[in-house]
Amino acid sequence: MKLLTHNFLSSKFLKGVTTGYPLLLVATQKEVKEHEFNADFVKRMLPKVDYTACRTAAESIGEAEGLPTEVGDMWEENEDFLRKLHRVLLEVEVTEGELQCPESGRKFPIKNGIPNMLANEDEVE
Amino acid sequence: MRRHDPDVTVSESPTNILYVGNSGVLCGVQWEELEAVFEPYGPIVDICVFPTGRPYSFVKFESVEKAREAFDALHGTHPSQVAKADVVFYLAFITNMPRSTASTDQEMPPGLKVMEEFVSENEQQKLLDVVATCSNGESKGSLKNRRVFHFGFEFLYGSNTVNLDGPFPPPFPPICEALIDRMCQAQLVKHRPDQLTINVYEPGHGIPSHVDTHSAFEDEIVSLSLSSDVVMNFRECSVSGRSVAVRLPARSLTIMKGESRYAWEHCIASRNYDCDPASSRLIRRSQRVSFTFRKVRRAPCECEFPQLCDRNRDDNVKKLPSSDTEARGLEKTFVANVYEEIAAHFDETRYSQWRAVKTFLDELASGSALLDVGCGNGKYLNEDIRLLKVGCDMSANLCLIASAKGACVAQADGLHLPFRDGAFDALISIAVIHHMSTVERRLVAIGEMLRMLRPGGTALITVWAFEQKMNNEQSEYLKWGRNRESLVDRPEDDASAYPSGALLVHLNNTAFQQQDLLVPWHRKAPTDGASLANPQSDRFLRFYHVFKRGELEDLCAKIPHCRLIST
Repeated sequence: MKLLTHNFLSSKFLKGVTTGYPLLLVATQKEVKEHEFNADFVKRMLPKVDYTACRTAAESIGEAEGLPTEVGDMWEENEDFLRKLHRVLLEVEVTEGELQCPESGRKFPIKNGIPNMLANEDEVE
Repeated sequence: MRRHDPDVTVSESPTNILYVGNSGVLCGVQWEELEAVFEPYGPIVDICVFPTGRPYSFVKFESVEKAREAFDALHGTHPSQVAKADVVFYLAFITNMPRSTASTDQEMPPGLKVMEEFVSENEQQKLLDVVATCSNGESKGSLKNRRVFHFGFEFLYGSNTVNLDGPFPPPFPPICEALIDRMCQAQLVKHRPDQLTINVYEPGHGIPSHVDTHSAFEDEIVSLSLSSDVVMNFRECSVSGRSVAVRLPARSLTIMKGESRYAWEHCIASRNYDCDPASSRLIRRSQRVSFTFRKVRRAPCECEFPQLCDRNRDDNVKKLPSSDTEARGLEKTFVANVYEEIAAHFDETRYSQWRAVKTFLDELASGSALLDVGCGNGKYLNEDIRLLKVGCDMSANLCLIASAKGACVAQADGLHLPFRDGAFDALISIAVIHHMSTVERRLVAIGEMLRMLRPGGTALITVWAFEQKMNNEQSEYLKWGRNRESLVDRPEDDASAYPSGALLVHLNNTAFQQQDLLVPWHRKAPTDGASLANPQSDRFLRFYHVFKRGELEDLCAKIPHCRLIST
């Protein structure tokens, strides 16, 4: 699972959960898969991403080094920042671990890099 | 020719046999046309044709002189009888027709037997007289492609079953009882038949591909062919691809039992000519009459092919769900589990992108975030530097396949999407919600999808359509089926005759009989042949609700803040 995927995931579909975002992330196994950097793509991507959630997730798996707490004013010109963002969103992958709903504590396993977001019928509306 | 038919020798001087280049079905020349081209030049003894593979034919005349006249007139020309333009015949004299052209894999379906000359000429005439009497009487039925008469029990074409409650058609004609005695004495049948269907086929008529309903009849199906030879095509239900053409000569008896009866479809193509599978000789059909004898089954079918059996072996599953719990169970068995199982083969067959989807994606603003609900093997999640793509699918195996291609995916249920509200600018869901088995669930699925979109976002949702004809033109789906099997439509079935709520097993590439059905997925047999020992394991049934025109629009209309852009 790339952190880009994590950035969109939410457990709001669970019964009684109002936001379910961002999901807490624990990695027991991760890897880095090199992927060609494209500054334009990262620039297009950032407005769709919740940066705070992205940084928190990166931090929780020890990959936040060099990521500022907030996106600076001139971020589009800052290639170093764009490269770091590229790495953390597209290259780092959690292969084994779990996600956790911040409200209900429900855990979702990540196996072979796939987060399993299925829930039992009694857990959903 | 030297490669395909090495035993055929070209002659320097004229002979009575012509090689006709560019005259095969491959070149767009019909068998009718071929005969019409050469007939004017004198008596023809034989025509040798090839349904596939070879672009030529052979024509044998009575005399060298006639062959030479045909050669002189037709060599290097486009014969006027051939409809396809630009076809030019190239002729040569040859000394002999090929000895045998039978392909090596023409092994008969297990349990099928054709007994030649089962009745004498004299008996054939008596049987045809019976038919003539029927034609004058009142016990007459007529289907789109043939005339039928029933004896013993009436056969119901709506449900493909027998009417056990009457009214009963007349008992068997006496001559048939004598024939049945002969079959029983020769131990060709275990059960004495009590139902007879006489079919009268005019040239050009056929019968759609079918398996005789398991529950309606006992094991042996016995059919007498009269008046004309015909070629019957058999196709194995469970492993796709294996098909066998079998010539049924006039006065022969065909016995289908065991695997050939339960696990093979059979059909007769609608055409005027056949090609003898053993000799490749062209056979012109004349009127053909068949007497099919069957024994009505009184006890539940216990065949060895439960997955192919119309009897519901698992009592509550193959019915439309009556509650949400049942719906979940049905979708688990007939959707989720199947995709999990067939994921690898599904991936091999799903690579080209539909043009409509590609256009939708191409028209999205650069920088759009896209969600693909039911992304399958991720064929629309390929890298596109203009778009940020995320997908989800119910199947873990399909997610793994998509993920291995680099896609961002999560395993999720379309009824409970695990993404933040309004996070996406656009969404696609291709061929997904027709797998949901109640209208409520289909509605929830669309609602969930729209919850993922920002205000003003757009979604593209596609489903299978019930109507497979537009402006009287058959869809590609039906055409593909026609090309594959050169079949006629499955004609007489009437969905209203099926028991309510029962899910029919759909015959692929034919018109849909009802909106809710089970569609087989045939997984290709592994090349090592390991699966052949257990043929049913390669067929999987998927639940589909095929949408009638306007139905998807009606669903969308029920969702607040949803505006239909186009359909």
